[in-house]
Amino acid sequence: MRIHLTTASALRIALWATAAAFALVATPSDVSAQAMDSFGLGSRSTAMGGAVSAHVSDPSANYYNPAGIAGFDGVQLMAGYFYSMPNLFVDGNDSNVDDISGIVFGLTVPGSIGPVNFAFGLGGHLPDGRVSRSRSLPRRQPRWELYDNRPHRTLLSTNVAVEPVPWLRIGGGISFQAFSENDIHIGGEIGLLGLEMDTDLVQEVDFAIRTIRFPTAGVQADPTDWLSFGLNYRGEYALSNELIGEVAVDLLTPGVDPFAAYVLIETASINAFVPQQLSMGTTVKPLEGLMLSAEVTWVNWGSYQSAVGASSVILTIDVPPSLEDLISVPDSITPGVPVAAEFSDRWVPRFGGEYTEKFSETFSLSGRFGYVYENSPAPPQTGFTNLIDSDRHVFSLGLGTRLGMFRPLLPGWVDVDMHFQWSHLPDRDHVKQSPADPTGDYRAGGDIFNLGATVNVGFE
Amino acid sequence: MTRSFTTAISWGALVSVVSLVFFLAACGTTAPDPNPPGDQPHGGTGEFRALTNTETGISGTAGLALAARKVAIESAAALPDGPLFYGLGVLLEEPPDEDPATPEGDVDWMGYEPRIIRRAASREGEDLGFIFPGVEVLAATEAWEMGEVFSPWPVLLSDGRLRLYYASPGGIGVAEAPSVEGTLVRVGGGPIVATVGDEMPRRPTVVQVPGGDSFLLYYEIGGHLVGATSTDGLSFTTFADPLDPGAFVPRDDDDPAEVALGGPGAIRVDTGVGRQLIRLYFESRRADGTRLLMMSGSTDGMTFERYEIPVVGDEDRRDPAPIQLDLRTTLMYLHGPRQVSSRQGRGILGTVAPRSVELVAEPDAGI
Repeated sequence: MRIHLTTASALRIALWATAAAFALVATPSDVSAQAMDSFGLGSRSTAMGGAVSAHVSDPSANYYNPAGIAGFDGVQLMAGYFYSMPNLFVDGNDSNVDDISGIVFGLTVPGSIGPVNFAFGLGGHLPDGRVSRSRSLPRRQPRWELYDNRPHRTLLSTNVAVEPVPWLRIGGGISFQAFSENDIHIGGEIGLLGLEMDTDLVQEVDFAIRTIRFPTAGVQADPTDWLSFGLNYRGEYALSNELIGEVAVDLLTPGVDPFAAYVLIETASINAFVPQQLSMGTTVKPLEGLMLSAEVTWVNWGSYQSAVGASSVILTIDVPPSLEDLISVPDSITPGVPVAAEFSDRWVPRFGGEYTEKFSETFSLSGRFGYVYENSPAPPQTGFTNLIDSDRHVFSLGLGTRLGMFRPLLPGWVDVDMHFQWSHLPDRDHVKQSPADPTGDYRAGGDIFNLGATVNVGFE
Repeated sequence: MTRSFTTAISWGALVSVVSLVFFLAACGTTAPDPNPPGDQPHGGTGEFRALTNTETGISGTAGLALAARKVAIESAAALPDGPLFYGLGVLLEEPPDEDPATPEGDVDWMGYEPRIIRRAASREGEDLGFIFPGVEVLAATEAWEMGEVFSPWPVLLSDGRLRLYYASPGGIGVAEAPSVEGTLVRVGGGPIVATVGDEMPRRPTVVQVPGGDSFLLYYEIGGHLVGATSTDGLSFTTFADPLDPGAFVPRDDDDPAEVALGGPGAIRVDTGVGRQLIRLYFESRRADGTRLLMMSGSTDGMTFERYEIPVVGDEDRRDPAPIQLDLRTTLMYLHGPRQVSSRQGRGILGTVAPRSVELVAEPDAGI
């Protein structure tokens, strides 16, 4: 199925999409992170280690390289599910990092304007555990910085791509992410000095889910039948997490008129962050049915600010003269200041392969493998912060089948793909500079297991 | 704009496939809820909380680990998975009136029998409290001890011998036993640190330096902390200067100034990366009369850095005696005020860090 537009209309759309994408690249906005960077989108691409920028053949192109959606011959509709189980430890204690799971989906609709092909696409991830999670931890609380809050986000990516000549595809788009804002207000009366039973508080929590945007853009080129190149850019997105807690109460004590207390706590931090990244990949087809891919991604972790943000506390209590000896109110409370994360950029190599055996016109089977090495952008946590991370070796395997025997009911094919991904994070020692550090030294490492399957339906 | 379809498709088939795919995907949303966020490991340095009655096996005041009527107890220290050694003063049958000049929280020992050192066994099972009164293990017999002994600090040597450091009005002494439950015999003919004039050394605390080939001794004298080293644990060389636990940093403008230090309790801890550190807990005595327990850490036992926040919230906890239970958990015994008849006394309390740890919640809690 293709949709044919006039040349003028298609060019307007393409120019608009490209301009919009690059305008957003030049103007970073506050946006948030998602699970796809860690666990992939779609079983085929995940099984190949994500090394698919140069050749992505299903709607996961909406994430890996939007240019790829212009190369499909017909409508493709993909849906699947993955379940990721982190087993991460600190000093042998399970860190209880939450499992991540949810639906992945994608849709591509190609069209043409005369000889020029184009396509629309959308894809994303809908977690089934939480739509969005915000968690403010104590400033010294160790946390797995890349796997704690970061994957708990909903993602929707929308893209447009054109194929001006048969060997070149250009695409770009905008992705949308959900994040939350929280305000907590507490009011009422608190009984002191034996009047605890008189405590009566009312809490109000304002919680809002909002969306933020970030750009994606990509290029694919096929100079020969057996060689492809891909270039993909994803913009930076940082989730600003602001938590405001306000307490306005009357304090009750025996024999004293109620007196007012007011506490305002404001914290501001970067709750989840994914840096801008640029991937360059190539795919070769040395033999019939065999495809090998290699890719390297520059990840700009150096621009990460910190999860340890600013905090301020305002405390006001109108203490009656008779209680001044019992209740001491500090003149001021030292505000917390952001602590630099001091992350550094990294280069991530990816390798993937796929071998397909075509048994008949209606049945083929594919085996896939992949490997990714992510050196940790986080320095050893020797000081105040405890942003835990370790290097990650990601090994993946996959199996897929293409079924074409449903004609004429389904004029096309159905791909059923599965993947298994094992991430190993070797133990890493964090030795504190101060022997009085309250968190102390620790050793962190572990494994993450990820299983999933997708069904992709193609209409010819 | 024109639209056409190059291939005719069955819209019914498309709708069916779309429905099937999303139905299968939606089945995934029935997955169980994720785990709640877990508590991350912590250095076990503090803040400490009082043990619960369930954890001590003793009812009454939360954290009470050893107490009895008509006695005052102070300066206890326990061995890991072992008994508690403590200094005991029994209230006289007809005690003199309490000296009205006794500072709040202090014990007027003139109302009690001469202090002796006893050993109390831990309660049954996994309880972290101890059984009163235990057995007497040391009483003053030497002239230089000047009538009483207290502030015991046990050290279990690698060959199984027990070495007990203790204080007396005449100075700090040492006794040894062939085992934890063996009979203690004094080592040497006098104190290892003698009282000079009014400067009485008290509260000895000893750790074996990483490697076990030398010892570090800390004690209190004249409102200062003093450190000393030894290769055999019996003959010590005192540091040239009083021990500096690191700068005192007021928490706010109303935080009283620190005017003295005392009550040291040291522990050698293993960290998660195999490093060994010395942690020194001590009393920070303030201008307003309060005492707050603080902690300093060291890699060599001689130069320390202080953690700026008190490790115990209550203001009158003294003579901390820490034990490392595991890489993230520290148990600490100390003493707090306890009324003995109408007089001020002290009782032993148990605390643990981190506050979130539950020591006897499950049979396989691992303590």
